[in-house]
Amino acid sequence: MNSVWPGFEIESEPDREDLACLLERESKLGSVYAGVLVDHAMAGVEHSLRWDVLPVRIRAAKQHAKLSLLVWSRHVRVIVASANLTDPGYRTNYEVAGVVDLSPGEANLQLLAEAVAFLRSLIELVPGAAERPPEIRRATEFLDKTESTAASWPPMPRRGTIRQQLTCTLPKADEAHPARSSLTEAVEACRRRVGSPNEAWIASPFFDPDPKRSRATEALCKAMARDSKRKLRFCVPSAPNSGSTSSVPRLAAPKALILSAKLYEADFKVEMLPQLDADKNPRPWHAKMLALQSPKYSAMMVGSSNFTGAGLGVGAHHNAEVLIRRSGWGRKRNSTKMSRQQDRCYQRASFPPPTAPETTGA
Amino acid sequence: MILRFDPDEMPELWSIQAIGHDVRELLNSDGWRQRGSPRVDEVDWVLSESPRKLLVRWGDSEAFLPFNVEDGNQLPPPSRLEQMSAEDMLLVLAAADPSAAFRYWSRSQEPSDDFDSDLDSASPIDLDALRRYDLQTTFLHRIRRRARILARLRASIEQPIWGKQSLEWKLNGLIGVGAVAERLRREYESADGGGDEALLMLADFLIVLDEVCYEPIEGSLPKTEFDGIYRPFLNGLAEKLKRDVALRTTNLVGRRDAVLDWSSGSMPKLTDIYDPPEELVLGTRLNARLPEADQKRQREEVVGILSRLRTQPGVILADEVGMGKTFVALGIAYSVAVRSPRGPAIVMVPPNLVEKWVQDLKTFCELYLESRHPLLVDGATRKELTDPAAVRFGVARHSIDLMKLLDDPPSRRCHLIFLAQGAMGRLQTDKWVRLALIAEALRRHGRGGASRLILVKKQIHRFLAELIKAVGEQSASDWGENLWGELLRSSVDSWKDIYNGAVKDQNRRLADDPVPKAVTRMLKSLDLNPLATALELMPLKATGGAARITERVTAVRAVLREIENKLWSQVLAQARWRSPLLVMDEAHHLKNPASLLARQLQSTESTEDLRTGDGALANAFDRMLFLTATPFQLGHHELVNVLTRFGGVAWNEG
Repeated sequence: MNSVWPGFEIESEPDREDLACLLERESKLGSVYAGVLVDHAMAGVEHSLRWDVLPVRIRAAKQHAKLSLLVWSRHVRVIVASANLTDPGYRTNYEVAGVVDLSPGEANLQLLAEAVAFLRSLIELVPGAAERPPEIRRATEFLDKTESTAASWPPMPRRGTIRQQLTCTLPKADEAHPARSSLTEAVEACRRRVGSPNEAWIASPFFDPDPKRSRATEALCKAMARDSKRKLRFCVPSAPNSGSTSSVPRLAAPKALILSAKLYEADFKVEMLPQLDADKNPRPWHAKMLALQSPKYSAMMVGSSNFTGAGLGVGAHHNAEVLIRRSGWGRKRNSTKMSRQQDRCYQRASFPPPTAPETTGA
Repeated sequence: MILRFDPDEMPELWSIQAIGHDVRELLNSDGWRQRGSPRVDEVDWVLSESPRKLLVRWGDSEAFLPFNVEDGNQLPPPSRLEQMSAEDMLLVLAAADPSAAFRYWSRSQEPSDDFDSDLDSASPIDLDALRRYDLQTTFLHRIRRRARILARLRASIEQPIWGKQSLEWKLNGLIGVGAVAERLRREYESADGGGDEALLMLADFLIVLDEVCYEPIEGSLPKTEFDGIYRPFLNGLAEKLKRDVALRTTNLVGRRDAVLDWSSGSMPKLTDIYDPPEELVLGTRLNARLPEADQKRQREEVVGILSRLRTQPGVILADEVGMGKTFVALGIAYSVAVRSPRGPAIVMVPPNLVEKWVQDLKTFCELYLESRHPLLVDGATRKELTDPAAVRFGVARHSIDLMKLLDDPPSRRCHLIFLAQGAMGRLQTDKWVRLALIAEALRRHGRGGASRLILVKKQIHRFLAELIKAVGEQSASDWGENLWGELLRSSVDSWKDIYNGAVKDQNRRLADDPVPKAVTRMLKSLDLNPLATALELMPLKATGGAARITERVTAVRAVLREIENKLWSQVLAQARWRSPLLVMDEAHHLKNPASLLARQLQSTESTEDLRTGDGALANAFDRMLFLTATPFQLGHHELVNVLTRFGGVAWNEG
């Protein structure tokens, strides 16, 4: 955590300096407001009493977004990540995060407004929020103050045709606030610029368990261009060796991914995500990434959405999810630049891809 | 506690339990209904500790209920913060880097066996007449040190602050201004005597707080807002302290006479360790085995030397051969050792005379101590060790033996240790120390990007016995080579238990922790880079033939030996241990200041070019007693040289 929270890092080692670590943590949390919006099923587990826990309840779905808003008097940092606020999330797993800094010199106020609006939506999903109990008041005051802090900062000038925005999945709140789908928002953004994407890269640790039908793949294929061959690249983790003597690796993904891709006559490849780091330490893959491309458009989204119906907002139930989307279009230079960034994000995927159908059993 | 309910969705039966130090039912469905099934209910929380979790149970289900704290400043502080003194708190509050200050303080709280709070409190250092020259504890030095801290505190509060919550925390937080004031007030109330110094400190503290002049910068909390919070806080604090102090002063009036009386005449005799104890019957209960005149003279010598040791750092007993120097010395050593909280008296004797001294101790106990018997601590049971009639003694022929004996807890620690001369100067080599060095090097360097060392870490147990010269050790255990792997993964403190649990032969079991605490402490400051680099050369597989493996292991062992020597030199020179008395037999060896023995009693200026044992005994002893029957033949400078060794006493004069 210390790499992303300058000024808030805990310098003591929890394992060797437990007393110093405890006092340091209490001290640092005591001097700031800290609140966490957590899925109600995970709330109430042992935590420091120096931060507010706001349980978010979504029927038949979950609060799955990992959005951090860090506010100093002259600086705001928005972090959209795949990592949970847990030890594995910040110390062990392969995770991905997008960071946007705002300061009086340069502020992406639109993105900050999107982040604050998303957090306000989550607050409304806390049971009893309408009665405005103290923890809800503290949270909304924090968001109000954040907006007022940055309000006077000059907005960041638009740079060519590269954008950085948030995209969300949310359940329907009321008629005025319909459900949102991160996949739909991403595809719509592409269509507004150059038309539908014809290529998509997906990296996700989890998928819907249905072995015959992948709703997420189908929704993605439907949203893609129909006038050219759809190209899909699935990057999936490998399944733990269950004692099989076969040398063919097994993938921790349902066969439905390729069945659905075939149904839409998509050209697909499946690649294996690493589970070990350079020192051979086990590092489970937990990052979630989705890239959309066309000849003149490239967008990369990183954040909390797994490649599932609830994660992308294409099923009956919508999680709360948030991703940061960086896109470039128009001039070839911009889309190529985005593509290169995309390649760097995916470069950890191993090659060659085992595409044989028998290796993609769930 | 305020609980919110949705009455329409409540199950028939449920309960809420608060889980913390204890488990306590907060509310259940019956109680809630009796209270009218309110949407918002308030439950009294009577305990001083906040719960860690709330567990809700209904039917066969249970879940945790999240709860939040209305005012974080009202949360009770962690119990271990109680150990922090007002001065420690001030240091943290005033520190430019509070995180580092926390770490520094918490390290100082780690238990150390050479400090026993109970025993040390029996002889408060600032009341010990013999310590009156320790300048660091004088009033002047204390005041100057606190003035520096208070100046830093003022500068710290004047720094720009970024929000009201940060300021509130600085004033009312765990280690805020209010908490420090409260701790100072408590120290004032519990101060022995009149508490004048504590009161002065409180006054200084308030004056410095009043002088604070906040210096905002752009974007920080404006001065008006700062003063709007700070000044009322300070006024409230001053009023509260004034009330508390006035109450205390009133109470003190009644004690005034008692205080004066205490200081003038009835002060407890803190130097009683220099009186012979009742059970020492040398010269008072005569026996037939020695001439009565000798016994009476020896008694006079014991009383006389003890009396001199009250006011001088050392005494030379230069009786002729046969006059009973050994019994006199044992009488003095026993008198000091049984009453001193500082640890055992150390009798340093030529190696060939150790056994003679042990035999003399047995005779001494038999003839001159009433109801006391000698007990060799090595191999003794816990019951024997804690027997009040036991005169516990140990023999140290190597410096590591001494360190281990000193590590023992006060209740089982030796009264007397016979230390062979030369033990401290001999190059020390010990397989457990070597293992500790390797474990620390692998722990510190065998992670992150050190891929080769990480591989070595996984395989080193196969070659470790050869490396630390402990071949055969693993075959004595049930675990074979895995014994080493298990030890390397565990803390040094647990090695004794792990090893003893693994070895089959009772006789091989360790009676004591194999690595002295002084070594464990010193490991942390040792540069182990060279060892880590050398360990990378360790073989990973048993390929290339036995000769090749031995060649590689030998190369690593050479580096290990070098670092072990360095470690040992530092341990001996810097180990923090104390003894109330050194008895040095054949002390004429000290007449040459360049001799190894003499160098051990001198303080070392630097750790560079330290010869093993240099300074090992410097400043470790409160007093010294030198025994010699050899005349100083070449002039009085020989005597002067020996007397100079008393400079190694931890006297702190001047």
